[in-house]
Amino acid sequence: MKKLFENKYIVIAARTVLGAVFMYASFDKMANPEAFANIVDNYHLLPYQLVNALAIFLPWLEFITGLFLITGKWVKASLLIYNVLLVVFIIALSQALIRGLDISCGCFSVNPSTTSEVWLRIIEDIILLFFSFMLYKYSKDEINVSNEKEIENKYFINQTN
Amino acid sequence: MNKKALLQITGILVITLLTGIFFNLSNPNRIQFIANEKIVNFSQSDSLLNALRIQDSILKAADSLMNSSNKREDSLKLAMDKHIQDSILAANKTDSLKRIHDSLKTINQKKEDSIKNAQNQVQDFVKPIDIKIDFAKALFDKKYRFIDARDLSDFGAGHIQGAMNIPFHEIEKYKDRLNDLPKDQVYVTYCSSACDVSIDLAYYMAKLGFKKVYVFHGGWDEWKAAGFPAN
Repeated sequence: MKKLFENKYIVIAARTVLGAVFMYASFDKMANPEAFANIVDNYHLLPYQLVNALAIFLPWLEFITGLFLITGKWVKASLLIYNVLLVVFIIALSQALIRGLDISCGCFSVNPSTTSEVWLRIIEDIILLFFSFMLYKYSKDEINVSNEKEIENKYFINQTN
Repeated sequence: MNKKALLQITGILVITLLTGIFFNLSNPNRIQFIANEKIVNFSQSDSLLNALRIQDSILKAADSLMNSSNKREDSLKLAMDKHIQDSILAANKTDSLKRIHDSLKTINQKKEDSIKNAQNQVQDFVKPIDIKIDFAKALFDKKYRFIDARDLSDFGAGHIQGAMNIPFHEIEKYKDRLNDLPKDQVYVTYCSSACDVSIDLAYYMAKLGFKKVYVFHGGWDEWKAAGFPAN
């Protein structure tokens, strides 16, 4: 597993997929903050004063984290935020499932008619969490092809000196 | 976690904060940064129940007024007919006939005003209001429309007698059903008890222009437990 996540191409592909998922998930929420706020409120996890603030900032946190993952900047920090967000999502969905709340997930769309099984979303999040955790654990910061080449060049120059 | 990672996390959070604020302020669909609480005002339920009772008594009074004025109208008509006959005989009585006709008009106007006043006794509202089971039952007895916001399967398993089903989770699919309903009527939305879809549906309806939407907070569970009419 370690070898797999040290392969730079796999790392870049995984980062791109993880980033794209978060960026895609953020678009509809950004465009319809009110509908997303209703969904957040239905989870009954936050006091109502904080619901709108979360509905405004969470999609942007997803978007920026996803963007940094794809571009390869501040990777460790982005992955850490990514992991924390996924854990929060899994907890929120699980408590809704356990309490039998009749809610719309709000994961990728704020349209209440696009309902999906909550447990399926939990499984999706767990899979994403696995990959992002592995990336966080094994990948180096600022990993991208150009950086790798720079490191190799430096190493080569040091050796020749 | 090293200092660099902490700085980067702070950086991401600051960028998020700034873009979020900027985008929300420039977004036509912007929302308040601090939300207003969803209305759960049970105290109004009792006063609304009283208003409903007052409306009943006023409507009854208006009916009796209408009956008595109808009787008066008949007698006035008879008198007018007699006067018409008399006026053929005596042309100088035209003025008095006119006066009788005017007074008839005034009585009719007063009658219409009193009915209008009686109807306006119940306050119109736009925002949905939570109601208790006693008020819900009073509205049910008055044959107002109940709307079940739960999913089709829950509705099928049992619902308030005569209620229509508009699952809020599939609101786009059932939107036409709402559009077919007259907007100035009284509606009561409900779901089970541990749910918010009735509130969401009520707010959705209020936004569509429905003026009198109540939310029966106790929902199907409370209705069933009370043994009230169900299908």
